[in-house]
Amino acid sequence: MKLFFKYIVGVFAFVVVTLVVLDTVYTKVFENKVVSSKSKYLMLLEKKHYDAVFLGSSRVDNHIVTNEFEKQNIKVLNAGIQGVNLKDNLLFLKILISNKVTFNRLFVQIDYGYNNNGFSLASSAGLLPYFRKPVISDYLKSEFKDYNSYYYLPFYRYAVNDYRIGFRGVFTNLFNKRKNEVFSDYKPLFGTSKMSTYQLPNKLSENPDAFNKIKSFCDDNNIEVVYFTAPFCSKLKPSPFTKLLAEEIPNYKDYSTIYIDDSLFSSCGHLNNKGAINFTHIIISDYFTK
Amino acid sequence: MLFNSIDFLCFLFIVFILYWSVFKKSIKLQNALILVASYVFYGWWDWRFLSLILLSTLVDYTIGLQLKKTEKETKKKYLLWGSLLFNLGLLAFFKYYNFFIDNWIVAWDALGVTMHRSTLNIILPVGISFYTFQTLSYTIDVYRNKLKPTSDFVAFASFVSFFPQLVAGPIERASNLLPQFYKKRVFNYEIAKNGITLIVWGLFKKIVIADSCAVYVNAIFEDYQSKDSLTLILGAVYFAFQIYGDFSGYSDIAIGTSRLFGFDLMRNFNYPYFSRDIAEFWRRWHISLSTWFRDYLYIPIGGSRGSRLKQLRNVIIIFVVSGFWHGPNWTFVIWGLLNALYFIPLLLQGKNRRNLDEIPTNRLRVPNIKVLFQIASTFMLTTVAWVFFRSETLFDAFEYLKRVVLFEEFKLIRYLSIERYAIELIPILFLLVVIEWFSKEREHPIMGKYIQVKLCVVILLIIIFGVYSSPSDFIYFQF
Repeated sequence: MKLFFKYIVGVFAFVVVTLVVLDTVYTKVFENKVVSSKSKYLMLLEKKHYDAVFLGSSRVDNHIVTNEFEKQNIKVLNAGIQGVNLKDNLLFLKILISNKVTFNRLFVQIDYGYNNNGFSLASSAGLLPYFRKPVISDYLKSEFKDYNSYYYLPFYRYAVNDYRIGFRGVFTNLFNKRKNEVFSDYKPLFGTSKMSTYQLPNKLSENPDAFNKIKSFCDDNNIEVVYFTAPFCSKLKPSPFTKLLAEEIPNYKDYSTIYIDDSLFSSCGHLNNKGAINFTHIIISDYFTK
Repeated sequence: MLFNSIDFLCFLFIVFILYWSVFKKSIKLQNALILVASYVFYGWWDWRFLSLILLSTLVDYTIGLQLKKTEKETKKKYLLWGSLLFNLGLLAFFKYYNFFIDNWIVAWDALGVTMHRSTLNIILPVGISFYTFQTLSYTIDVYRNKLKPTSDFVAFASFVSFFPQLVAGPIERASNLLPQFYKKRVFNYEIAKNGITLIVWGLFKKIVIADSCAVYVNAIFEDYQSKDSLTLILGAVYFAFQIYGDFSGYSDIAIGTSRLFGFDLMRNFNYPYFSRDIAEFWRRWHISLSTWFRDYLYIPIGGSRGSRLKQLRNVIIIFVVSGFWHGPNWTFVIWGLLNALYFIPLLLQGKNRRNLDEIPTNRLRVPNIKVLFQIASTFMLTTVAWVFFRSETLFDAFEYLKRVVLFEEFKLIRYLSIERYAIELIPILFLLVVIEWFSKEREHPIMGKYIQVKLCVVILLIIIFGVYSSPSDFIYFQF
């Protein structure tokens, strides 16, 4: 029996050593300068200045056309990431500030996400290799329920996110030559489809924890913020939600119903490239040409 | 509690320590521990269904004792029928009730009579098909005087609920497993070590092979209407590997776990995809079920004796029943029937037992073209049948196959547009085939020379290529 226990201990030791080695290798590979995701792109930005930064989900990623700003000599960062929530947005904001990225004004897209206090780390998997950096770990310690497993168990964060940062991600990072400079932060959608109806909630959350945290962070850091709701298609069902947001948030702009032409949409919540360019011009006219 | 979970690892560790330390001195205590552990293991899913296992155990234990007491053949027959009706009745109710009701209504509808639908919301107890067959084997063997009935209730209850193989087999014969509960178990280092390597190999097949394939199989089968021919072919091939990795992986873990406790379970898979014909495939695939049906159904109804017509009837019965055993869906019935159709030509030509020998290879352990062709064609036939097994309905299965043969848009691009291991999966599967080919004379690949190196490599592969973001249940749990 003693021999068997020695054998089992040997097997476990091999597993643990392997996990530690792989964790180190994966982290080293992912920490190179190859941009494999939007979240990593944001993580690698350093010491830059922008006239404005846009935070949000796909409804920023697919809607804010940075090239259109550039044509007007306005330097803008589209920091929208597919599928993220407000709590992820705050994390990215903290990262940008810690990386000495400065900006004159912050735009935060809010809609039904106002009522969502959840965290969607899977969508920001590009950050996971940097999990142990203080700017990330300090924030996640209180916000992320799997924090201890992610922080202390070697390789755990790579294993449970193998879909995004598994061995395929390692290969992409090793052999992909795409660098930060050539990465476009605006992701256009093309074409249009049959619109389905869209429904915003009927009331605001009584405890918008994520929103409150963003707000107080911006207040503490003297960041000028504009909150806005990006457009929806004509199939958006009538709801008092954006009105309630306007009552609650002074510096809020509601763009949810500015379009009745569904040909500008790829889906009801997402503008296509043509719509995004048009919407960007509206934002420029509202905030940058006065 | 899934075999590929941390819960099971902790559970196994605790039971193992208790079994070989505190309970080491008495077989009765060890059996009692196994019984408690098995009930905890099963109750982890749904404790309510423990009553079913207990009831099934009590019924067959009592019938076994009554069979011993009575001399009268008629009474013995009644007792046997009692066990059959009880066990198969349980199975019929929990597994097939809604299927029968639905088909009954459809049949009357076809005759123009509208009937009121009264289906029940029945939850299928995990592993019911496995443990009912296992207890049945006990009663039948006692009835046939092949086995002495036991008066040791704890040993019998442990045999019925033995946790390594409770929910998905191998379906053990009472004559093999039950006597092991009476014998003193002595810890054997080599056997236990072999158990560990078998568990690791089973985990590789489940976590790396089956779960990686599952991502694609689900994406392809759930949206087959929009997929091109090549994608559909790959979907079917991937499912063939998924079900093999999943089920044989489970069996390996079950057998390996049993060895840690000093038990020897029957082999359930013997490299089935290297079979040279369908008859050989069925001697290598889910062996515990095939042999169960052979011994308790095929031979009693006549087997290969009698006229050609009778032989054909018996073959069709056994394959169709075997298909139906998997679940209340016509897809399984057709899957069974299709396998019968593959088998019948071999039977008619008297070639169904021609490939009993080892697969011939040359000095480099490579088969000749003829054997290679036989293996490939057998794999192709089984893969076609798997389409029925995997599809939700018969319509889906036929449509799927229709789209394959239409050869529409034979492009790789669409297939590659699915994320994840788009290209990597093919070399991984190829690696599995190569490893298994060169290990086919052994029980599993982590044996023979350089065991430690092989074990380390497989563990490394499990860590790197395993699917942890979307682990799936074992397919055979649903049966």
